[in-house]
Amino acid sequence: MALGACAVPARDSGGFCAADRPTRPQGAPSPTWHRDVAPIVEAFCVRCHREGGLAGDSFESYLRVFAARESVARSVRARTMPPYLAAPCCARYRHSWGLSDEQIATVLDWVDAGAPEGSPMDRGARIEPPTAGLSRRDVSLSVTEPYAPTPPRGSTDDVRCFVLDWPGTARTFVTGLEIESADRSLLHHVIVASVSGEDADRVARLDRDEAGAGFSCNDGAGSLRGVTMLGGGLIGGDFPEGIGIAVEPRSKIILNIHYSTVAARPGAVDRPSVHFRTDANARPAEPLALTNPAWLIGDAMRVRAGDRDATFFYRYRPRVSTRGRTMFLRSVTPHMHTFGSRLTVRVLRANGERACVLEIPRWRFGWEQVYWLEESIRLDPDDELYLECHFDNSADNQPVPGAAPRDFTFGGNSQDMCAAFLSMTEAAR
Amino acid sequence: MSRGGHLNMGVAMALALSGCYSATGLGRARTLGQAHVEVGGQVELTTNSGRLNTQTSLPWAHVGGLVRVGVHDRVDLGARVSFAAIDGADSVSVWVDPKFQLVRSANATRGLDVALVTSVGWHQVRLGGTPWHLPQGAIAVLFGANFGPHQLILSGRGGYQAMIGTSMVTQHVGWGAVSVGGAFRVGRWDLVPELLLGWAPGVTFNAERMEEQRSGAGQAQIGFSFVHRW
Ligand code: HEC
Repeated sequence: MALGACAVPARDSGGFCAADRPTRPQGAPSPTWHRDVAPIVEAFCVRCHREGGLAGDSFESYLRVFAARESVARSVRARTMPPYLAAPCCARYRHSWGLSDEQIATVLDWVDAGAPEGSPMDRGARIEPPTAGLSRRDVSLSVTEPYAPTPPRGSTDDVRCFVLDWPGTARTFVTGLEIESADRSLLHHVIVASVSGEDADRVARLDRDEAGAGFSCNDGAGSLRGVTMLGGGLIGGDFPEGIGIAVEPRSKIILNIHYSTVAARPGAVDRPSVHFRTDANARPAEPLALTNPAWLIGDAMRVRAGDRDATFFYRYRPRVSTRGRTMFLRSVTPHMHTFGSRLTVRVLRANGERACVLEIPRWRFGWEQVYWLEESIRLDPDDELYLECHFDNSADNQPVPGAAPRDFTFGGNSQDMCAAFLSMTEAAR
Repeated sequence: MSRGGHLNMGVAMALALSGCYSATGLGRARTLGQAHVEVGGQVELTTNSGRLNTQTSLPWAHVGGLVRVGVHDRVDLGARVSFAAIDGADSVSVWVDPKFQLVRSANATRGLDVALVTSVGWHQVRLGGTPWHLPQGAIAVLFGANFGPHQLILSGRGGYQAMIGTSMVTQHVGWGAVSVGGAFRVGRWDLVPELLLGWAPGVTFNAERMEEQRSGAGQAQIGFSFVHRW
């Protein structure tokens, strides 16, 4: 049985698909602001890039964007803006708020052509902004006490965990969720999870022991066992096709909110709420964690000081979770910290084919989210899951700028992680 | 945060499988005597414990076989093989255990025997694809008190194992263990129940929060071997 495994599992030779600069169809007319670029910026950027928005610069006028055009081209090309990190060449996701290859090409060609304004008479059609919305609000929970984000000294980020009581008295399924914040200019990103059992008491204690609403999650919430990830990201909505994630009675809901005070008004406070759609008869999604358990031991995942591209990978045939069934992958949540630079998740099929599940060509901490696949990806019992993470521990990429790089391992705060959390169902649709 | 839950489950699995190679089954503290042979089987249940913050302490069952040959009155050559498998995860370990008689009671049915076992082994764990290889060495001192055909066996042990895998830095682990057991003679059979408690103090586990980083891993094994003697 075990002797068949003498072959050393190698790093998958597949490359990252998002390396090339996307191009527009041959002969397409040179883009202008009014006709081609303004609709993209209005739909995909001004949500954050406006007066009082989350991002510092406002992109509400041609002149503002013209002034920032070089940096706009750079960040759009790198796919770090909008900060929807998943590359569309890998797979398509529901409620995506990233730019398509064609939109990226349009912005780049526009900047290359000198960012012409064009004629306001020749206005392009409005693009519907990517919002999803919840079709029903069955459970709404609010933090009662206002919270003023207080980043640690020298930082503009404050991660807070709020603890809310789940009102359900019987097991039910969350089939969608949405965050509501008093001050969107503060909200960087959000993760919603449920905690049950002993751990529900533990987080309630953490909440009680700290003054003010919630407790500090700047170092993570600690090692909680009975935790289920429900969702995350700034754009909420229904989960696809009646899929639900089970929530036990007497659970606590943790709202893990990453506040950024970069663009916040002085004295800004938040009182976040979360709305859920629930369904007692939903199709349950099963969780599957993808990481090499050995990395959790000692310095098994050591990244040397100064290493610009430390690479770790793991191949995993998840029969323990699939129990011999053919399953369908539905969502993926990547997880790295600040040193992470690239990540990919693939299915390596027993017949040698591969399917791309997620590719993040440029990881940015703080924009972690759940990606729901537009089309589920089949996982046969003998297929392998493949995870590859890259870390940049060079002097240019230290969490505290200017600090000397030092070795780190898998772990909390000033270290890093390499993991992906998947959900899967038995049926394809 | 949610990661804690999943990841701890992973560590529990990893430990249950990897730290816990089969350590029981060394038999009596008395060598067989030249040209005598023992062949038998073994069942072993392992759980990990200690400061690992996991709900699950998975019991892991190994089954295996063992053989011992007396090559000299005071020297046995022994070997053990054991396996564990569920659908999707499995392990195999192989040990070579020479046994040297340090103190031999003049009368096999009374008095005290002491033997030294110097084991060299290899253990492979597959947790769904990526195998880890754990070459290891261990020294055990067995103390046996003879009561007629039966023997009460106490032991103290120390060992070292490396954990080698793809895309990871090799880990080095030292461990110590004590055990208590008995060898009960029934006809030509020896029935040997054992309890072994081990501790690997240097192993650390990385959690989200620094202060929750834990070190040290314990394991308990209950073994039962049955050998036929010629
Ligand atoms: C979800 C909110 C959000 C959206 C949508 C968004 N940005 Fe940003 N942007 C930010 C934040 C916040 C920053 C400040 C730096 C950071 O946190 O990454 C930023 C910074 C920038 C910068 C400064 C350089 C950099 O990369 O840090 C540029 C240029 C930029 N954004 C361009 C865009 C463009 C162009 C779009 C639309 C195609 C866009 N952004 C959409 C939130 C957003």
